[in-house]
Amino acid sequence: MCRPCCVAMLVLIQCVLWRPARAQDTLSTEFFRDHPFYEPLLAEPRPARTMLLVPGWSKEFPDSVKEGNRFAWQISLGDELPILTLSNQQSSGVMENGRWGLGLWIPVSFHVVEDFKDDSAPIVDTDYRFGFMTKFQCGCFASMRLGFRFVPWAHESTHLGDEYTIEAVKDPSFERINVSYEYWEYGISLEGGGLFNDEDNWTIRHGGLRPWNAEGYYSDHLLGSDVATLTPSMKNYEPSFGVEYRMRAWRGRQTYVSADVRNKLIYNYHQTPENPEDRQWSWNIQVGRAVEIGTTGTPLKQYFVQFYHGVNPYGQLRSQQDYWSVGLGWVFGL
Amino acid sequence: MPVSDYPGRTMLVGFFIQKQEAGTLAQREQFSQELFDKFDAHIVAACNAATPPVNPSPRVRASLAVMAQNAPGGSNPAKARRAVQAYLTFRGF
Repeated sequence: MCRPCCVAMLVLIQCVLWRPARAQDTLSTEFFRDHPFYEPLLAEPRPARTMLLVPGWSKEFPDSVKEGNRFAWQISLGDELPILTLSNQQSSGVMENGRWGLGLWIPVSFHVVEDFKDDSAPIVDTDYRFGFMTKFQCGCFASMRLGFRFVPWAHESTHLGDEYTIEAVKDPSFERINVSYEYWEYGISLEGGGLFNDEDNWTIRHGGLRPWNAEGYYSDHLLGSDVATLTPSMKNYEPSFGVEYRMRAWRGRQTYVSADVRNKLIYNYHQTPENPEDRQWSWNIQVGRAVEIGTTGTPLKQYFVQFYHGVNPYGQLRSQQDYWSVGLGWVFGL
Repeated sequence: MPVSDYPGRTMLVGFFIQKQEAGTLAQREQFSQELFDKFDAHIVAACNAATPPVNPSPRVRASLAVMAQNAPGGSNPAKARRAVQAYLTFRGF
């Protein structure tokens, strides 16, 4: 990095973290203890958390046997496992003015969708994710918090269900693609409260994701073959934006609306000049009720209505555009 | 900025609830100041707004700050009000 850039960055960090010196400030290092430095947006499509979407409905999948929309529930299991945190704030909770916290987490999650319309109710797809995640938050402004999330390395492996595949291979044109890749990801968050009263909360997010692999999101050969027959993905950067607003609590829960929109790549396994890769803005909206921040001892954290529209988020089915799903969601946690 | 007048014993309780250890004196003093900065003005305001108004001692305000620290809520004023409401209920107001 050039010297002026280094100086500018140091000045910026100094400005952001500056606060009146206090003799009693101490730095705390904690292992395996969670802190809310950068919680996933409630509408984030693939966070590491435990969520059921049931009842749920979905557009027909690319290789479905029976035509039409269908009852399809979605299951996500996962958590962000805290490893190490460093902070100059002793009391738990979000960072107060002038305080900062930094930490390392290991996010691990599984995402499943099951179709109840085709015979034997096939598991359509299961995606696995794990990686390393650093999160930072500071009380940089009087009534706002600035947060960063950086995932230097993570892996996603996707798997079509066997019963789904057994039916799909009856179509000679069906190809089993190996969607599996390593990626890095970043996020920037601005959070605050007091928009309409002193109990509401708001969040604005921007993020981005890109695979490390030169060949993009998937292998250039079919599973079970060593012959390169697929064109690699090229438009790999996936930017995202999100907003969330939580109202004043009523009966122990905050009514909220949360939206995540991301410019997702529509996988095209056989690109040609006439048939190039394309993208689609894919959005996920939740309206629901969530426990207040800091609530303990309530396993049901959220319930909500969710509507998703855009690129199919599951494995090799990401070649399907204008996919939609809708359902009632339930998030559980300790 | 005012310095915390919360008694050390109450802060030990609050610190222990959060971290399951005593911590160092410096950590507890910082913890005390942070709770004071986050909640004390809101606690005093909520107590003044009670009927009849309450003038809590430092020991009571410290206990209320520990309660507020462990209360649910989207903001520090909301958490402080929860704690004061519980205290007023306890006092039979």
